[in-house]
Amino acid sequence: VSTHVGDRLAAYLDGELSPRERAEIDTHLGGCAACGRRLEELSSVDAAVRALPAEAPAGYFDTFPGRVRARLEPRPRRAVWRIPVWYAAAAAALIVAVIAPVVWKRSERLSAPASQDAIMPAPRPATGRAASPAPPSTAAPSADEGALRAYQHRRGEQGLAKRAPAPPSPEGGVLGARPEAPSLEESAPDEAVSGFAERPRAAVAPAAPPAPSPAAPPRAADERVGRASVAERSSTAETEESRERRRDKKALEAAAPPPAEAEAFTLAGEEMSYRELLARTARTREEARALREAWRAYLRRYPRGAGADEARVRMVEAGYTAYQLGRDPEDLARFNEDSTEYLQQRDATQSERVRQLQRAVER
Amino acid sequence: VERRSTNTPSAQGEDVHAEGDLLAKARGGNLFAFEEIVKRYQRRVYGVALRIVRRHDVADDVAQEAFIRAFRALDRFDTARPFGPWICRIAANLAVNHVRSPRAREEELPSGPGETSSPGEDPLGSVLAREARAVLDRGLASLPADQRAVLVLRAVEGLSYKEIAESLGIAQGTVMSRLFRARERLAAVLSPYWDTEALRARGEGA
Repeated sequence: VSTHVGDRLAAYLDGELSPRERAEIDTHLGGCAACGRRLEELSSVDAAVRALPAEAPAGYFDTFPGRVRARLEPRPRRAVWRIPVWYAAAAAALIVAVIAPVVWKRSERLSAPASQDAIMPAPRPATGRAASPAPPSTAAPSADEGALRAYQHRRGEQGLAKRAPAPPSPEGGVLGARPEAPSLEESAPDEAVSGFAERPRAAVAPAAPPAPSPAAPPRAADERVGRASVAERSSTAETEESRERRRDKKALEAAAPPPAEAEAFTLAGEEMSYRELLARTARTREEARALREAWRAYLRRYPRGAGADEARVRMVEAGYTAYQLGRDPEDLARFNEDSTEYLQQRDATQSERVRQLQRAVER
Repeated sequence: VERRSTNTPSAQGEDVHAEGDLLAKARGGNLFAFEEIVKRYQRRVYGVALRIVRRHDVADDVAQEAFIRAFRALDRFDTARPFGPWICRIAANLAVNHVRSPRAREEELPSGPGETSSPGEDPLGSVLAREARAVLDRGLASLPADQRAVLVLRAVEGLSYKEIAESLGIAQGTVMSRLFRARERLAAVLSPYWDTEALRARGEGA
């Protein structure tokens, strides 16, 4: 059979041939009973597969949408954050003052493995705290500033700049002025949009003078257009906006960013984590797995950060490395999941890098 | 379906919301809109998942996860494009990954949807056809999940090779070879029944 048009029959059946090829096959089928039977067989297999029922237990679909929805609602997460405000404030202050510099130094020496602390650094800082003129991270402005430049430089080296339009700027470097993950508050979708969904990241901005705050930021969809410019707002404006948001009592979704008052700190944390993770190498399967997890944690924490795209690719790479080192199907599955997910993004700017890995794995 | 969200007066008459409209709202965080999307696609998504993972509880997980991922990725999805193929691809990818995972291998061999003989209606009609169906079902179960996924996406969902390749993160050539192997295997399994009228009729009719 295969001496006829066998190897193209499937493509013929699946409508994957050009009109010319189709016509050729049609002609051949007209005079070849064997290929005709073969084609029939193929289509019968498909039809039989289609005919197999895929039924769920009775009532399953009545409750399914609600269950999905319940998982998307942010509520269950609240409990985690429901720690006393003063406690959170103290913890944040402690971290900023003591732990962060230590982690920072470690990361600068590029030697330490990323600790969970660095990746998930911030308990919510105090409610009232952000109103104070000096946000926590300004404690070490010079270090931040230098790091920011290094980070941005590094991004440039790695070709990330095209995704996140943030060259080092005199304003203190707007780091990837991207919106955060949408808050999923069902009762007020539009509020959600104007709240977290479109909130741009503020820069660490040690250099930003406490200028009189510009007008309230544009809201919702309008802001999509002008993210970059909006992000140049001073941190003061950011603080005021954050207080307003706090009044709205928005719940944070699991992967959602920390509250705005911690933005400056978050940014520092993001950079630290990012730099630290970039510097890590995996020599064993376990290290590679841990690195993948670390990148994943980073992405959960900073899903829209300037380093997110690179992070996604790095996560894929770490998975690839893990698989190469151990040949464990589980790693392969993770790799496949990660790489596919990456490629499914509309703005997968580094698809080729990921595809290369996929091809390497298939070999 | 009632209009629950008021921002856009565009939905025509009793007609349901345009999909793009719903998706745009869902993207803005509107869970009502997204729930509507879930209602529309749940059977299809579950079907894809079940055909690949072959266990209700796992298919349930996969289907939920698919919708959740889709929701979170909505801002990267072009809402002008059809949602169906996209969500099915997500589901297929998750399903395949599950089946490949060691956790899945520890689970007992799935008894497929075909074997939990659905009461009342038998799509294939006759005793012989029912037997053929059981055989087909076992044949499907015996395929590697990768092949099964490709076959399901092609035969049931009608995705193109390119779409299948993208959804599973494999090359188009791989899609073709897996499809080929899957069909070969099932054709061989079914060959004793090939002349069964019911199956044949089914095959040509569907």
